[in-house]
Parts: sequence; C-alpha cells; structure tokens
Amino acid sequence: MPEKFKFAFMPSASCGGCEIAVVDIDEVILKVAELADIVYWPTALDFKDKDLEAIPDGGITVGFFNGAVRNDHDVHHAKQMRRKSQVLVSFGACAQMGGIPSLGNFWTTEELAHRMYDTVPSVVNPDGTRPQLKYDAPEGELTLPRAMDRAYALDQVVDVDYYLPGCPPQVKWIVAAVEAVAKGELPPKGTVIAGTKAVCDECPRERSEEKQVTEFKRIHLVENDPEKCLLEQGIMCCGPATRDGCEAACVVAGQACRGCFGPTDNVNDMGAKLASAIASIVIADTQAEADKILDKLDDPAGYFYRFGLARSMLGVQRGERKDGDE
Amino acid sequence: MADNFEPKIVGLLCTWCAYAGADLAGTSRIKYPPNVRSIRVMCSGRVDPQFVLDAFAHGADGVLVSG
Amino acid sequence: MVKLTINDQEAEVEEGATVLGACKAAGVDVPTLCYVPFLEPYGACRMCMVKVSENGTPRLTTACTLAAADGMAVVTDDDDVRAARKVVLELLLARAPDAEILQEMAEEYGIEKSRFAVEEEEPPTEAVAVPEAEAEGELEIEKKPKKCILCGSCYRVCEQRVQAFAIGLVQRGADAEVAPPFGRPSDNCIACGACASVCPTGAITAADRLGRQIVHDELTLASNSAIKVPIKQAVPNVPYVDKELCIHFTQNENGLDACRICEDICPKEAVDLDAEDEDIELDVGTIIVATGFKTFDPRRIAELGYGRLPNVISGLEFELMMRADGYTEGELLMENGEKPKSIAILHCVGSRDKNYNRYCSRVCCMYSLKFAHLIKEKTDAEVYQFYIDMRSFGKGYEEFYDRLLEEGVFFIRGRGAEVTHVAERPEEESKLVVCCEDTLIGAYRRVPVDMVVLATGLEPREDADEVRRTFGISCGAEGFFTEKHAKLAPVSTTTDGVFLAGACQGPKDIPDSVAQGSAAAAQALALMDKGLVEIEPITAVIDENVCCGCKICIGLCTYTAISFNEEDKVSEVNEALCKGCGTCVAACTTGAANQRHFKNEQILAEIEGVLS
Repeated sequence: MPEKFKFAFMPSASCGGCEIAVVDIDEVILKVAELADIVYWPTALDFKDKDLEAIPDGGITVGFFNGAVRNDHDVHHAKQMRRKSQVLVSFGACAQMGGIPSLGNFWTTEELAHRMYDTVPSVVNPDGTRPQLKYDAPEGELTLPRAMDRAYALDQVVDVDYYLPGCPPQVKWIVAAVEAVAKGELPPKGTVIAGTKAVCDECPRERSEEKQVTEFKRIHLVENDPEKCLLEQGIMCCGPATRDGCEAACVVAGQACRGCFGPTDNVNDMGAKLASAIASIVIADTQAEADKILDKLDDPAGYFYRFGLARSMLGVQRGERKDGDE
Repeated sequence: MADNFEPKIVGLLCTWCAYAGADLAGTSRIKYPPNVRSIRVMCSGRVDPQFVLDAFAHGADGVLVSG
Repeated sequence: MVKLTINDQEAEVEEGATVLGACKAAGVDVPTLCYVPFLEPYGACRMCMVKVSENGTPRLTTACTLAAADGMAVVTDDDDVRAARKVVLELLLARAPDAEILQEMAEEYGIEKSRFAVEEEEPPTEAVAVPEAEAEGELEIEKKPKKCILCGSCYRVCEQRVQAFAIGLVQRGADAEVAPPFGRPSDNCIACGACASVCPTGAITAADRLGRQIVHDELTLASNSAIKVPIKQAVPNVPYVDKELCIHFTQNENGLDACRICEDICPKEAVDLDAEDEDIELDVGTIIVATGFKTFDPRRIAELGYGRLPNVISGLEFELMMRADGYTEGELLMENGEKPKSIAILHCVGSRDKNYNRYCSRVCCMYSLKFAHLIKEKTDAEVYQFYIDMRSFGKGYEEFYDRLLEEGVFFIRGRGAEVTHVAERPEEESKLVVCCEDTLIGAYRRVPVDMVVLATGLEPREDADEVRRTFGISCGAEGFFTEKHAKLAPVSTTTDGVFLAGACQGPKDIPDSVAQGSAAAAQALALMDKGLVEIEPITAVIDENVCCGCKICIGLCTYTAISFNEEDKVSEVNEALCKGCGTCVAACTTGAANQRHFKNEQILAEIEGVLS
C-alpha cells in the first residue's frame, strides 16, 4: 500500500460552517480516513499551532483553508499552510472571495472597531475600553492578533491551487475534489471545482424572454410563484451571475440565490455584473421612475457583493499615484 | 492635492456618436485636453460596469461614458 | 350593335345609344343646348332636331331622346331640319335674348331678330343659386340679363348628380323660372357650383354669400376645383381629388352617393372615387431617404417685417410669382398691382445667424443672383443685394456673379438688419426702407425700395426626427441627417441599405442634389445587384458552454438578433442581424457573451493601457 495522503484543515476568519460541511460528508469520511491521514484539524481535534509548525514543508499533501484572511495571525496561518502543503485548496466562499467577513471592507478597521466596542446596542462600554494587542499578565505576556486594514481572500495573500466554492462547499464537490486527488487526476491550477455555467442553467423555474421588472420586492414579503423566475417576479436573485454546481439548491427551496459560488470564469466582478443585469431588466421611462424602482432594492452593494467584496474591484485599493504621473 | 493636478479620465466613447465626435474634433483641428483617454466601444450599451470599476482600480480619476 | 345611316353614311353604335350619340360617334355635328353627357336625356331645348326615317316615313324628332335602332336613316342637316331649328332658336331667343350662345347660333341660322321677341318694361330677373343666407331676411335676387332657356340642366344636375335638390322649376308657362324653393336661399345648396358649370347660356352663376369657395364654377383642372393638378410642374403630373372640395365626398357625409361625374366622363376610366387610402407595405432591400428640407419661416425675424409689412415676400413667393402660370402670370407686381421700381434682396435670412441657424444654406446667394437677373430681364427696377459674403462657389457661378455686376445690380455688403415703413426722409415716403450697415464704406445706410425679397434659408423638416428614428439614422446638431462618413461614405448611413440624397442631409443646390441622388441610386443598385449584404465582422457571440440561459440578453437586443435555443437551453446570436453594439455583452452576467474585436479582455487591456 502506498503511503497515505496527508490532509490538513485550517480555519481562519470564518463561521465554522465549512468545517461542518466536511463533517457532512458522512460515511465518506471513512473512505477519506482510509485514503489519508488528517495531520492538522484544530476544529475537530486538539491541534495547536506548534503541531502545524512541526510538519515539514510540503509535508501536507492537500491543505484545505477556509475563511477570509482578516488579521496577521490569519496571514501567518495562510503562509504556513502554503509552505507545508503540496496542494493548497481554498475552501468555501470566504477563502475564495473574502465572503461575509469582507463585507466589512466597506468601512475602515477603525470604524468597525468603533461600531463593535462603542455603538452596538448590546455593548455597554462607557470607558471606551478596547482590546489591547499586548497585555502583561502575571503569567507572562499575552498577545492578540492585529486586525489588518481589511479582509482579504486567501489568494490575495498566498498562491492558491484550487478553489472549492460555496457557503458552505457542497459535499459532492468536496468528494469530487478528494477523488481527484486520490486518482491523481488534478485539473489545471486555479480551477474552481464546481460548474462552469450559472445557477440559471440548473434552475427549474420558467424564464421568459421579456424580463420587465417595475418593482422590487423582498422575498419574505411576497408569496412567489414557484414555477416562475424569481427575478421576473421582482425578487433579487443572484442566479444569473453565480457559478452553478449547487443544483440551484436555494432557488429550488424557494429562496433566492445569494451568490455564494461566486462569479463564473469569465467575470471579474460579480457585483458589477449583477448591477448590469438589474439595469437591463428594470423598465422605466424616466430616470425618476428608475430611481423609484431601484430604491426598493435594499442594500444593493450588500446584495451584489455579499460573498465577494474582498475579491471585487471595489475591494482593490485605488492605484497608488506615482510621482511621475502628476 | 497639488495645484497642478491633472485628472486622468477614461472616455468610453460610442463609435457612432461620441467617438465620431472625437474624430471630427480631430479632422476639424479642434484640440481637446489629453486628460481624456478615449476608448472606442461599438455602443455605450457595450459599457460593462466592470470597465468603470477597472478604470478606477487602475488609477483613473474619472470615467466618461458617452453615447 | 345597331346599324343605321347618318346623312347617307353607314354608322354603327352600341345598343342603347341615342341618335345623338350615334351622330357624335360618327363625327357629325348636331347643335345642342340642354344636352349634358352625364345627365339623363331631357329633350328640353329641341335644338338637336334631326330628321329620322324608319320604314320610309321621315319625321322630325330630337336626337338626344331617341334610341338608335337598326335601319334608321338620319338626316342632320337639310332644309326641313334647319327650318325646324330656326323656329326653335327664335322661340328660345324670345325668352333669352341675352344668351351669347343663342346669338351665335342665330347668326349661323340667319336670324336677325326673333319674330316672337317681346318687349318688357321691367328688367328681367334670373334666379341665382345661393347657399344658405347668413340671416333670415329678404331674398336677394341679382338682376341678371335674360339668358335662361329653361333647359333644366342646372336643376337636373342638382337632382341627379349632386342630389342636393337645392333648385327647381317654379311657376308655369311664360312665368316659369329656375329658383330655390320659395325663392329663398336654400339650406340644401352646398355651394358646389355644378349648376353653373352645366348651364349652356351662362344664365346661372354661383355666388357664395358665406365666402365659401365655389368649386365647380367651370369644369377645368383649375387649382380651385375638386380635381386638380397641384401645380403644372407637379411630378407625377396627374390630377388628384381634393376630398374637402369634391361634391361626392361632401355629399357622402350626408349619406348620399352623389355626383361621380368625373368617373363617368373620364374616357380612360381613370377616376375611382371608391378607392381608399391604403398603407402599402413593401419588402425592399434598399431605401433612399430624400425627404428634403423646409424653408426658414421669415416671420421668426420680426424686424424684417415679413407677414407684417406689404410687399415683403419670401424667396419662394418670388419664384411663384415669376412662374408663367403663377397668380400674376409671371409679372412682378406689388400688392397694389403696380410694378415695383426698386427691389431689395436680403441674403442669409435665417442663415449664418447665431440667433437662428449658424450654418450657410448654400443656395441663397445664387438664387438671389438669379432673382436679380430675372428682375432685370423683366422690369426696369433697380435691384439691391444685401449680402454678408458672396458665395458663388460652383461651376460657372462666379462668372454669373460677374455678369450680374455688369447688369447694374447694386451689391451692398451688409446684412439687412431691419425693414421698416417708417419714413425718416422725404424719399422714404410710402416706401419700404432697408436698414443696414454697409461694411465696405463703413456707414449705416437706409435704402428705400418698393419691394423686399427675403432669401430664406434651408432647415430640416419638422418631421425629420421621426423619419430619422424610422430609418435608424442619426443627425447633426442642426437636425440634418448624418452620412456614415463625411468624406468616405457621403451617401451611406449607419443603417445598412439606407442611403441619403438631397437636402435632408444638408442644404444643397440642384446640381449637388442630383449628384448625390445619382450616387445614392448607384450605391443602392450596387447593393441590389450583389444580392447580398456584407455584414460587419464585429458581432456578439455567445459561448454555449458558459451561457446559463437566463434570457436577460434576449429582451435587450434592439435588433432581435438573439434567440433562445430550447434544445440546448442557451441563447444564440444571429450574426446576420447582429449589429455588434455589444449591449448583450455588457449585460451578460456569466460572461458567456462576448463581442468580436471588442472583447472584454481587449477593452480591459485598453483601459489598463491608457492609464499606464
């Protein structure tokens, strides 16, 4: 029997849902166990940083990294995982595109801290106490990771080989990825292991050729026709701009697509594309009319960039002005 | 910002009107400032919001969509 | 067919024809008065008396009421016939001595004075067909010469054709006359004038007391009749029916199927009043837009006095006046009917003026020179040209300008700023005064003239925008249609197969219009001859491996070039229809759609390039 593969799972700025997804593979975990040793998985087992440090460079066959990169500790982990993994897989929407944590990129870190420690209704902090990065405790110096200027996607910090999209990634694609590794049939670097089209392709709802939206409605406020395209019913659905592979799970369940699989290969900025799509289906004769319709679309930026702000063009810092340009 | 600030403006110009206009400015020997850097598109409908974001991401101070 | 002899000549006519008809067909002249081809035969005047023998027995009878029959022998002119007609004429003359036609006939039949003539003390009266009076009141009967012969043509046409029943025969015997009911203006009269037009003696004339236009004063193709040729130079030069004036259509509104005289008398049966306007849809491969221009309305420049001051006319009105068949028959006349002794021609009216149109209308300089030449040719008047610059740019134009200089036309370099009738000096009394700054001598001048001609410029038509949208062509700031390329594609438009010709594309004169029209025709023919259209390589293309079938693009396509492939569940581009605007590409959320030669990657690279 050849030597077993070595898998590692690293959580970062994430909700833990990705780890649950791994557990969700049920009995397949036995096959995985047969195939590979899990050398690092702090969420499931009692691993410490030093255990990861102990692994030699390239000692992990496949490293799965979930969560956005929000603080310097995350960066440290990302770099370690990169160094120690032969193949690094970005696992889930946060690692791939920044995910929900990157919605915070609409504000500065200081604004976020102010919100968190001063103005959130559930916080009582009259002294304005803030966590300190260092604290000299009797037992010795305690440190906290430093939050960076913004959240990053994994591949904005280190080189990434593959992406497993989704919030969380779906079992079938996790299995497909593991099988590919097992068979040694790895796709070209950079591949997003999911479909190549968009959710509409898998969506069973009926779509018409004349999409004319004159009013946007929030999905919980209306009873939507389960046979008909949600967008055509004025319900914001990210399906047209979201990579497929999920079998339109949300839409089948009566929920609008939220875009967790990210854009297709040909699209750089999913939010821009969604904005374009919405502009294409709103029917208005005047600017005022159009504004009125679009005003009903709550928080468009949050909608369009729910999972992808870190990787979007909005997330990119404006080009540094070089002296020679002035 | 320095007094001698010169904005960089990306002009996404429809080939039939705005770009033709820019062309006409050329044949009519009418000067316009080099701040506008023209990019010809076949129609202003071709302008993808990605282009606008991309221009800003690459350091544009303004984007002119004309058509 | 019916065979008979007329004056010993064999003749053949169709069944049902009258003897008069047979005579006319055979080219034999028979005098008539009450005969009107489009009315039922009446036999009232008896002038068409002929001698007819059937079975050997000759008798005198009216030709207009007798049906032609086999074996008839007709004699139209012998002593018996002439004697009979002479008596008839004398009797008619006794009643209507003033009718010129009777006098002429009398001369022909050797009558010097009617034996039955009666002397009357009271001046004779004749009825006048009058429309409803403005107010109840005493009947006005115009005193007219005695002309009516009671032939009935007038009330027959009124009954049979117009169906208005506005006039009829009243009284009996010697007192009989044609009149409206009760001698009062009749509500039934529609002022069509048909009665007057058929009256052989001129006894009845139509007078409209409401100022309405009398349509059929005479049966001609005059500009005021219901069937008319708009102008003599009209193309195609055929008459049309003016439904506003036509008796048939007027009476149609009263639920009557009236008149139709034109249909009956047109030898070519070319008139069809039942024809309806129809929208004709034509499938064509090429279209030439040659919708022309409108002239600048000089009323917009109030200080030039057009529409306010007498004898201030536009260029087009001058042209109309100079036309041989115009309302002055080619005479240049002022409103008081006199010939003007001095005329000012003001250039650039509505052109080269930032208050109106900035552009040069191109034709006015030369037509103004032509006007001056015409005036000099037809009158002795002095001509003053007020110009900004003389633009005699065409072939032979400068030479024409030189010739005009030699013809003694005064050229004053300065825009005519104002035309006024307020005299400041004795020589300006009852004249029009053109005020201007003469820029050559650097002085303000007032030039008194009798008449001012405004050289009005050219403007796009009011409906140019609608036309433009219909054909998908663009226009410049001033509203003239834009060619595809000012130098390289001067007759093409941005819509394939649509070409431009003439002033709709910009002001131009006749030679230029003809040249452009010929070019447009040649381009259209070239396209038709080829039989296929070359399409631009710049089209949208949809990657079927990426398209998710959301259908957002389909509704967006202005050219309906995108359709949905139900089998593969993807959208497809018809490249023959696609104009390559790329709107679908911008809207495609999956990036499946891309545009050849303007790919996303290419444009993004360009953006990066221009900013680097």
